[in-house]
Amino acid sequence: MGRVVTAEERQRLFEDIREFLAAEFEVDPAEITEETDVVNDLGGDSVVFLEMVEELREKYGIQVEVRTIGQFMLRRAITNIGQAVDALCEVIEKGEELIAQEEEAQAT
Amino acid sequence: MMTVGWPRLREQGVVLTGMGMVTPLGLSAQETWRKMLRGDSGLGPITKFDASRCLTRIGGQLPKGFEAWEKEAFSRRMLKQTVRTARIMKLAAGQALEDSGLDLQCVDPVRCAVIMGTSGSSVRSPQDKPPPGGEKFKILREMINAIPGWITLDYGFQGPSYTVSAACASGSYAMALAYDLIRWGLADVVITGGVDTLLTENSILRGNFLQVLTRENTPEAMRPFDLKRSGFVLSDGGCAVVLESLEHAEQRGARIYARLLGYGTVSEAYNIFAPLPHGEAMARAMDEALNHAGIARETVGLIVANGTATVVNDFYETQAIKKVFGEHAYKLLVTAPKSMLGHTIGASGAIAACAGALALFTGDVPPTINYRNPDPDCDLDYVPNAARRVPGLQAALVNAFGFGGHNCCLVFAREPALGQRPPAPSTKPTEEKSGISDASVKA
Repeated sequence: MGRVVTAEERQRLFEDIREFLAAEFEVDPAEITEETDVVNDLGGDSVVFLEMVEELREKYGIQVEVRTIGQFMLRRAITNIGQAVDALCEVIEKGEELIAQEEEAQAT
Repeated sequence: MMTVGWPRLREQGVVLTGMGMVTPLGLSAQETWRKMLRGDSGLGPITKFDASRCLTRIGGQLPKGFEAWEKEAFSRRMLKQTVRTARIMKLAAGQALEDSGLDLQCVDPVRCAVIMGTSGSSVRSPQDKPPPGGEKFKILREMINAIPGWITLDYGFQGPSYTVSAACASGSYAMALAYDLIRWGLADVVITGGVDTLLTENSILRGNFLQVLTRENTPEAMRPFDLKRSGFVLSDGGCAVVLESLEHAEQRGARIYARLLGYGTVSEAYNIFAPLPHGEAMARAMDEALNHAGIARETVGLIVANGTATVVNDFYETQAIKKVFGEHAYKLLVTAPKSMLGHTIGASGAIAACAGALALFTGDVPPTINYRNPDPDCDLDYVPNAARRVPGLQAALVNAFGFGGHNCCLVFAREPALGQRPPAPSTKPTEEKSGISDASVKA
């Protein structure tokens, strides 16, 4: 089972993502908000979401496979950073439940 | 019954309207051409890596400042996701498009293609390491189709795109395939060309084993067609061109460097790296190209030779030229740009094609440098050591013969042909912008 993500933790997650993207795309972190579109505003690509997840898994004790998280995020058609933060919070909260949910989605 | 989704084949003329280069002689086609006409050498002692284990310790390195220029031109993320061949071609393609004056808002992206040639440096250049954090992109970095892939992304081109590999003939093969797409009406615009970065310890050690590289470690060591020739020098480089249909180019009033009239592609089916004795398959490729182009042998005033400065290639290539052209072989010019650039492998055919097209456009023929000792077996006019002004050139044949027995010859013609009406006045790409005019280009 996962755990509840507090508002402070969500904010930390956003800041970590912001820091990662700012370093990766060589932009001022202050320019990155929850509304920033990773592909259109930062010139990013879909691979960056995988890198982000890989980076944050260990720090936030996420046990779910990157692949499962990737599928989950893909189905949500995430474009901006706020959506990515929300998706990762959901991953942390659902934990193994997410795996079952994704397997079910795959089966259907 | 009507065919849906597949255009009716309609034969179209194919013209070359833009070029870009990153070579040991310069970071643009204009700079490279200017130095070629001056007879400059782009070869020198290798500093790119420690060559002390190699018998050949000279090479054609990209000019000083290339690395800084590359870092300026690309984001850190792009440097992590690409190898140098892809970056060279992104730059060369950008130059070629700019040189062509094409307005991308006015082209149909579905009818724009990208066909590139390389012998596969992305997996053959182990020293081409990514910046920290780039290892995870190994697949994206090494796939040899990444070159056209990135270019389609840069310009939104949605027609066919792929990489072709035919060793030293890769760039020419790419151009031949691009020609077909346009000729048969399947594309209006194709960015094509070739690239390689095989100036590596690995390639030199193996090249020394195969006895194809010179072991004289002076910048003058590469001497095509000279009696004392001793093999070639490896170089890094890339060259991209814009080919488009004649109709498309004329409609937008483009400046046309030359018309690509046809090509000949043959396989030697003889040996994995040695050419068929007496240049029989070289002659067959030249014959096929000229027949495809439909022009008389006497129309050809220039051959941009494969000219690798190996004892065997240059002798056989000379024999093949004589076989194809007969007495006319002694009237035409044969130039070997590799004497100045070294052997850029996958790029060499594309660079040679540009040299041929520019010679037709400007009336200037670049020389074969380092030519000192005439070889009785190689007795043609190799444009020794100094560029030649030949304003009346009508057609040029461009040779490329690769390991594996891949031979590809291209035939370019002046456009419009002598005596024909000139094209509509050019409004977009000016001579000032390209730095190349059809008057003599003097260094």
